[in-house]
Amino acid sequence: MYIEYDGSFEGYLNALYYILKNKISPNKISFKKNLFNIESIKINSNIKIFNYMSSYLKRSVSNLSLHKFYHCFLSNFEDKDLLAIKYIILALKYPKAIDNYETNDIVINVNKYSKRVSFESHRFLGILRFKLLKNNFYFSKINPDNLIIPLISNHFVKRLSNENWIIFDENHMMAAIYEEKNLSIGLIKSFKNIDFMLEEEEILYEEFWKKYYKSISIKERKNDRLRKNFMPYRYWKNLIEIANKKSEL
Amino acid sequence: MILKDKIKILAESAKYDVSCSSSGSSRANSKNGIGNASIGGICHSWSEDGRCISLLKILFSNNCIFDCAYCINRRSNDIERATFTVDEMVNLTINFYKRNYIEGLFLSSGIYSNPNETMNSLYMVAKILREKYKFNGYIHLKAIPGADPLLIKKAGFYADRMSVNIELPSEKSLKILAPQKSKSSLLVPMKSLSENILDLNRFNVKNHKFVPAGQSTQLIVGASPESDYKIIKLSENLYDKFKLKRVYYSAFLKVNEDNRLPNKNSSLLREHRLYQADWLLRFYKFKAYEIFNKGNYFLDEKLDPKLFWALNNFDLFPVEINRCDFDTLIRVPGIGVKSAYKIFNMRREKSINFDDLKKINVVLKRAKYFITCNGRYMDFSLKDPDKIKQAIYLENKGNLIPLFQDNLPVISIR
Ligand code: SF4
Repeated sequence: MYIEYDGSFEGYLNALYYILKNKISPNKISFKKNLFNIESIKINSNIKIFNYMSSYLKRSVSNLSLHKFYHCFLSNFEDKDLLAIKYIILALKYPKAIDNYETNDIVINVNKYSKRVSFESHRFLGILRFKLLKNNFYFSKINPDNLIIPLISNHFVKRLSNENWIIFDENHMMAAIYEEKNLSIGLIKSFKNIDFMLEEEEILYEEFWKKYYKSISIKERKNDRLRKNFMPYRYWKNLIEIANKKSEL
Repeated sequence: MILKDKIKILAESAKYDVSCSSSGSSRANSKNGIGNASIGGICHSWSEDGRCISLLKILFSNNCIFDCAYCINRRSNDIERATFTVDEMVNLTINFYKRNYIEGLFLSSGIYSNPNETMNSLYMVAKILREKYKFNGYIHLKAIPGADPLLIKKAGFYADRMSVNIELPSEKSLKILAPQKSKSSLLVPMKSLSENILDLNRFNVKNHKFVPAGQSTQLIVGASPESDYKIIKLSENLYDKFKLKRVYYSAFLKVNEDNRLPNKNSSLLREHRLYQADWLLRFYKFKAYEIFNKGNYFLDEKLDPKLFWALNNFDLFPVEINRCDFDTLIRVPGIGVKSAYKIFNMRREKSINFDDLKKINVVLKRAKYFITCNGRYMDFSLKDPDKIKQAIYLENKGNLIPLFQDNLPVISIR
């Protein structure tokens, strides 16, 4: 049976609710439409059910399991929706023992997916760049593989608690907006003409940063492979200090 | 001079400095401030040579009235000079920080007028950042040799970490290569910092910690003739007496023509071995005299120091995995602290064999010469330290020794 939801975590927990309530075996469901999906279920994002489910899960499984479940959901692997459901059903059944099932395929994969997400979100705490706009917002465009905005936003709330800022994930069309000390996260249509909005000083500090970056490198020890290991190519386009160097390589 | 040129000159002069860590201190955001120094350490970029960029590491000035033989910034060198103003430095830090380029500031300086004035500038930068801008990012300041201890102490209330660089491992070498510095001009501020760190943090006043990430120092290796033993012994003293957090080693790189200096750059491998020996002091409960007993004064560049020690003290082996105590266990080459804990836990359940050791990542290739499981060696092993040494040399041949990320040679030293 084909299960359709709106892609949000709210919707996802509603789907989980539906599956548990109707005692549907995870082997019978799919989150991808294909020829054999005779039955198709459309799930609403009911906020009451979402709240009920989150407190139910919090009560029933360990923090670690919950953490893995959520991170797996945020990952970009094709089968992550089904995998996280399978995992949480297993965790509900064996809440204490699940973390020792290191040899179980479901657990192994959930570990892998959730690690990937944690790693990428930690990486973005560093490689995210803000630009100052004329309206005094600090604006950042990122292109992560996974849905990391919900994971990194709090770090920046603490770090820039007195500023207004926006983090925009272009790959997933999601944004975190922090304005007047309020944080909201959601899907978004687009941000247009940001370059047009840049504060004049902005260019200056970007120049300073580029100069600094260039000046501290030790030419005799140039090691591009090492650098790319740490800073994969696909992230470069938003990194001010190397963005335009792409063509040089 | 425009700011961009200053940045170029003063970043270039600072780039060879070895310590890059911003971890070890966690400063919660004070009300309405910006930033929080985070514990994990965040890399914001990686330079062309693959080093993590976490802090704005820069000199306040590369002018210097001193004339240390090994330093590019020494007075007698004809190079481009620049000095920031306090405001420039503060603005640069704040603006880099808000754009998420950096975790904080690592500020050092040549002695551009006199020690007190220089120290005062560094102090003012930190003070204005913290007080006026409520900056909560990481700040590492160098304590300028010869500056008034009171001034250094005042700076300590705003810095997360401070360092006094000793540079040369003996007073004699200091006299020859850095004649304007003296042992006491370095040790006095170090000592007073360490006393203040102990004293002032006892009361644990919130948001008013004194140098919460402790102090560190740096030694140049190979600019002067001191032995590895002498260097490690000095580090041991610094860890014990002054409670230093880290000693950084830096292989000498010749940037000045000067007949007081050796002709060659010092080897990075030697530097690497010293870091490993330092590691043995800090985490494996070794004493300097133990690592170098039996008349050795230099480490073997081809062996890691633990192996070096074990082969020199072969009469202490083999140790029986199922019976020996913890401190003995961690001294076995190929067994780290982590695997030693695992062995200890496992031992309660069962008697351990070689397969078990493999599973918990003991490096049997190394360990096998030094251990028995239930009285038996792993295979027919060599039992002569000289032969073992030859075998290991042979194995290592062609294997490049991985170098630490942060142990680059020093050209300019503050
Ligand atoms: S090591 Fe320091 S004091 Fe000596 S010349 Fe260089 S900058 Fe000046």
